[in-house]
Amino acid sequence: VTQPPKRWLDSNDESPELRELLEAGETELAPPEVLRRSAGRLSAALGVSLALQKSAALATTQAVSPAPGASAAASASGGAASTGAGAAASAGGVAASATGVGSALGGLLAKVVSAVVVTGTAAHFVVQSSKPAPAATPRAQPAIQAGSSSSAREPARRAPAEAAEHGSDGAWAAPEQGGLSREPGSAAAEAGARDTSAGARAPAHVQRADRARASGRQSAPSASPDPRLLQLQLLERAQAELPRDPQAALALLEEYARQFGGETWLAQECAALSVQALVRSGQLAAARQSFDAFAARYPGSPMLGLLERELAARLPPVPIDRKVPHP
Amino acid sequence: VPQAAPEFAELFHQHAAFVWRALRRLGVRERDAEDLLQEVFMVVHRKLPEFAGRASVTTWIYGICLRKALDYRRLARITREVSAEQADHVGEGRAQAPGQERALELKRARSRLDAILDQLDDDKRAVFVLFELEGLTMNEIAGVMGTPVQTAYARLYAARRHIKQSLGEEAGGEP
Repeated sequence: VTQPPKRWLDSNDESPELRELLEAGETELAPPEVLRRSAGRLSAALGVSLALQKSAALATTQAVSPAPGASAAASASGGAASTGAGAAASAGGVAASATGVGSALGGLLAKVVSAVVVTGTAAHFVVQSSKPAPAATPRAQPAIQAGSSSSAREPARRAPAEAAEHGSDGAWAAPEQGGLSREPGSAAAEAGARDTSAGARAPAHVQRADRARASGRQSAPSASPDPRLLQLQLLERAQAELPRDPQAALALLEEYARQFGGETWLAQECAALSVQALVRSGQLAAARQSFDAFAARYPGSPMLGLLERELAARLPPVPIDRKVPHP
Repeated sequence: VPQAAPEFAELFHQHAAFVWRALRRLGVRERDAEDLLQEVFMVVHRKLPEFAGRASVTTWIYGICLRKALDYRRLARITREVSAEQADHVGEGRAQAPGQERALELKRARSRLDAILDQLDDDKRAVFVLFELEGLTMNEIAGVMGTPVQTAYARLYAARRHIKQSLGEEAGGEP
């Protein structure tokens, strides 16, 4: 019978150098903006909602370390609550209805990010309303962060902190309502400070987020609203205008380009909306041109197919005798 | 007992960050990891109705992730390029927070780790990453890779030997 090997990181026999390398590898998680963009594009491409409906995990965050800023964010008032370290965002708030191309793409912007809760290493955009931001409220680091790497390895007790760190909006760590049934410990993340019974363990990646804390990822407090909020809000307005007044949507997109330029984190979404607005406002030649530019710039975009179908549905059919065969 | 099929949104929110990390450690360039992450979850979405719960969701997703990463590396033939790219990034030091020194240390360590992992063949690398970094059990890894568990063990031990040897050589080469 083969004795199961022990992970190097679970062993005290390995050199500090080796442990450092492995811990560095293990503590790297996807940048929140990558996750947000991916959620948006998947929503658009698949016509499914990737938004989680409640902020249960946010409550988890508060259970671990109550914070006035976080409370403000959790309330319907929204706003920006910058609570400590971190500068990134991790909103998965992308909802796409499945009622058509426009609404699917529109799902990218279906919710306005209005609150930023910064915990540990990441700022979590909490999908709420778009009301004015309350003052930023600094917050002490969760006490759990003081744990050492080795002690922090003990399982599920630390899972709520993981939820707080990696997705207080329910984005990346904590299941919302029962979550998956794959491992008993995964429920720990949703249960906040609930004690865990013997044998229960969080998923491996949840258990080991303590290393992310132990590795001391720190970043500067962020007291001012992220300009990306403004970009998102403007694009959301354009999306809202699209079905009823494509010209107004175009005007807002132009305003967006004027204010923020063409290389923002939402550039792809902006370009896609622009194609749609041109199509719907009957500017088919310009729409075709924009679509070609979009396809050239984002050849792998999941939105390509959607835009292509929308464009094809509006373009007049080419008479058969005028078709030019491909060389 | 087969598990109930989980909701796609939950799967994405729970696993996406870790899938991205696994892709990176499996040799996917940072600038490509986002695209591959999407591809993984496109597959997850497409195959979710077929998910029979015979394996854990984690194992199932890592299996998809692994296949995507291997395809990527085979197609792109970028093993050496990856190392070069990572080496280029080491000194960037873009972090602007007070903890930037630590962030830079971590970045250096990750680049070094990836450079060492690049020296492994894909199978050994996969076993090592899934076991040592992603925390899968050896049985799960054998399932993901479609190999006997003993083969997975052999690959793990070989990978470990290689990594220790690489570290020893690095240390020995220092002035």
